[in-house]
Parts: sequence; structure tokens; C-alpha cells
Amino acid sequence: MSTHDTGPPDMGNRADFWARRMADASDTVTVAERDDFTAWLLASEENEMDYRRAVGVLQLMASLPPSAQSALISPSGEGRAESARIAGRRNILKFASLAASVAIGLVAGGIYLENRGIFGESHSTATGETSTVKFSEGSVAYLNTRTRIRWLGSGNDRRVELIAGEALFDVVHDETRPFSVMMDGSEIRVLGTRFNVYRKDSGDVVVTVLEGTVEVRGFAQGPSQPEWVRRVKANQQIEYRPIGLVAEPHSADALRAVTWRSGVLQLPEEGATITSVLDELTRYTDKRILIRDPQIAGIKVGGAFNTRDVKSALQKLQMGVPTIEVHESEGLYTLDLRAAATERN
Amino acid sequence: MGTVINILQARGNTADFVSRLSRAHGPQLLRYLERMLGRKDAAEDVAQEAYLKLYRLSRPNEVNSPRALLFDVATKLAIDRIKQAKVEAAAKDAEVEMNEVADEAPRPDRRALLDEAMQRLTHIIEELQPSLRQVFVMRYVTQMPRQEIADKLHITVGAVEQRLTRALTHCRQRLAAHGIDWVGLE
Repeated sequence: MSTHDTGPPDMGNRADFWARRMADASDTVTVAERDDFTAWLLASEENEMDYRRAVGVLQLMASLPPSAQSALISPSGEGRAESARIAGRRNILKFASLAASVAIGLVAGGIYLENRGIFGESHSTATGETSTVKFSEGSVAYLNTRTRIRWLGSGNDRRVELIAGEALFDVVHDETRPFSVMMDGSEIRVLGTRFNVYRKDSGDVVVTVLEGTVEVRGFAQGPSQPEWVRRVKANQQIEYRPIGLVAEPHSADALRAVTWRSGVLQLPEEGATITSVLDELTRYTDKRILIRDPQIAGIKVGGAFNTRDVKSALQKLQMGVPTIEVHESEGLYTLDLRAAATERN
Repeated sequence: MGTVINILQARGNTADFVSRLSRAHGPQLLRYLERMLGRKDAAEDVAQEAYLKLYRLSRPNEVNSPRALLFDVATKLAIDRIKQAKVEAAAKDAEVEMNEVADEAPRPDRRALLDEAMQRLTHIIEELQPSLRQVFVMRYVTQMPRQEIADKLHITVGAVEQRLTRALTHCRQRLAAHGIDWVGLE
């Protein structure tokens, strides 16, 4: 079929048409067609920008995490629960976009970037990497995959910003200098203890305490007025997102929360859905993990997976759930139902 | 300040960075650039240039460049190349002034913006009218071939294409309406 040789009325918006034509098709682009494209592209700055934006949206679609994928592909029932969850995130996004707009506003004035340096050193890990950061006052942070932290402390306070990802903090006791981990909209304060903070891409934060006690504060307006404050003790866990608490402090297998340090994703005894397993595995690979059938999303699995070798983790998943078939192709792992895969081929 | 003792390697050296990017996205990027530029050698040049430019653009602490950012850097370079070819064809002696700015300065956090765009996009797709949403999800989430989508929905491939373009227009415009724009923040 060729919509491409029909005239402009059928093309729809040119920016999106051309972006799809270039970035999402495999048939030949003819010389005449490319001439049309080039002429349109160079006709105005706006065309150029819109084209780049459209290509960008297509690439974002190619990087959706498994949880977003299954929310989108699942038929009404499940999807609705998930969209309710996402709707709940609107407030988060409001904060996020506010923060983003402030940042951009300052960038225009050149202040934001200029001043960045004085906020101190930052550290990060790449996909699949872990790393250890020692602060001069003696505390240590162990970073999991795709994590960024920044030291914000000066003089009498010890503050670390967790910008993204997950870290286990081993804090040296010092009553005169409280240690805190800062995030957008929340803060964790301690005197001396050992705790794990996992800041998910979705905005959710899970804090697990291994030793001692921490105090977690959630802010709606700013650090001066905590909206809520909770104490979390050893072997307890709390889960929250920028709009409020998801789970009050509850007892938890704290050691399970830090098996990532040995490259293991240990599932709880009651098991977990495949989607949640894939969301975790995605953190450890640059390849995209794609779910082709919504029925896969809800399947429950158990056990432990090797996060240092995502391919073998997926093979293990396939062995454990024989109805699933895992394919590997360039930049992509695909999970399909075995029956559906046979039917498709 | 000097609070931090252990400075760790983040984005790694150039070669590591480039090989990581090309392993993850190389083949798709090359295919895209080849379609845009019409030449394989030009596509390879631009892809290499894009990896290196992204390396220079990244803050030292940035490691996982989002795919959308890589494609945008490459698109910009490809457009520059198209412009240059055009000018060269018009006047052989005219030197084009490429907007290749000094890359040492730190950059605005396009990454954070793209993370936000990703979250917002899921919601925007859910709001799409069902006929558009369905084909958009089939094509770009489950990566179903166009013909298969057409067969399933009993519509022509042409109709599938039109819906995809309309859905993309909607998504792009909704993101813009939320003030999320990562293009041109250089």
C-alpha cells in the first residue's frame, strides 16, 4: 500500500508524517520523495523543530518501560486500575513540570548552570554498574544501577541528594551533625544507621531500614513544612510518592531489599507479577524489554534473578513459565505467549 | 569543600561511551539516518558524529543518555548536513557556518525533561480517541507490523498510516501544550 504517493490531503501533519516515514518504515524512500522531504524541512525553522519533536516522540515510544507498556496494552479491566494509578500521578507530574520549568527559566538566564558547581560533587553509575562512594566524614553510599547522588552538605550538616536510582547508606553516628538524604518532596533524616533508598523512575520511593531508625518527611510546599513525618525502624519499610504515603511503615525483609548488592533480584515469598520483575530487570540493561501479549503481564513468578546478566535472567523466566517465549533481537528482548507466537509465525 | 573522597568514573572514556550507545541503538539509528540522508556512508558519518557530540554534551556524571536525545542530536546533525549540501550545490565556494558551538559548557538537563516527557506520554496516549489509540499502541508498543494491524481491524494499511500520523500529531502537540520541549535546548 502506498499512502506516500498520494497528495498532501492524506498526509496529515507533515512533521509527523515525515518523522514516521523516516524513523518508522522499511520500504525505500525514493529520490523524489526525499527531495520533497528536504524542501519541506528546510522551508522553515518551525518545520525543522516540529520534525525533531516528532522523531523524539517516536523514540520515547521505543523506550517505554514494561509497566507503562502493559498499562497501555492491557484491555479495559486491568488497564483501568493502572490508569487510575497513573491519574494519581498527575499531581506528581504537576510538581515535576513546575520544577522543570523553574530549571529551564533559570537556564535561560544562565544562572542554573553557572551555579551548579558550588553544590558539590555528584556521582553516578551506568546501566548494570554498582559503585561505592565514601564521604570524608566516614559515611558510605553504595550505588546500584543508573543512580545519581550529589553531596549537598557544608560545614555542620551532612546532606546527600538522591537524584535518581537506588543507594544503600551506611551512616556514621554523629549526634551533632544529622545526616539526611534529600529528594524532590521528601527527606530522610538519621543520626547513624544503615538504610536503603530506592527512588523509582515512576516517582515512587521505597525506604528500607536495616539498622537504627530514620525519620522520613514528605513535603508538599517546601522543606519548611513537612506534610507528613514517619519514623521507620530496623526491619521496616515505608513506601511513598510525591503526593503522599503509599504504605505506612511495616515490617519487611530488609535484607531482601539489598540483595542488589550481590547482583540478585530476590522476589518476595508470595511471588511477584512478571511486569514488576521486568520493570526491575529493565534497570540493568540498555536493551528494551517488550511484552507482546497483555496476558503475560499478570502472571506471577517467584525466585531469584541474576541482574548482572539480564539475558540469563529472562531465560530463567522462560524456563519457569513454559507458556512464555523470549526472543532476543537487536536492542530488544521480546516476551510473547508461546501459543500466540506460533500463531503469528 | 572536598567532602567526597572517592571520585568514580561515570560516563567512562569516549570509546566505552560510544560502544555502549552503538550497541544499544546503533542499527536503528543507522537505518533512520540512511533513510533521511539517502546515503549509507553519510549515515555512518553522522551516527559517529552524534555519539561523539553526545559524549561532549553529557555532563560528566551523566551516563545513560536517553534514546530520544541521541536521535535528536543525530537528526540535528543530519539536517545541518542537508543544509550544507544544499548550500554547496548553490555556491561551491560558500563556507557554511555550522552552528557547532563550543561543547565544553555544561548543558541544561534535557534528560530530566525527557524522563518527564516519558511519564506524561503514557497518560496522553490513554486520552487518545480509541480508534487512534488502538493503532498507536499496536504499532509502537507491541510493534505489530502495519499489515497485521490492518488485517486485525479490517481497515487498509493506508488508513493505519493515517491514524498513526494523527495520533503522533496529537501526542506531540499535547506534550508541547504541557510545556515539555527538549528540542533546541542547546
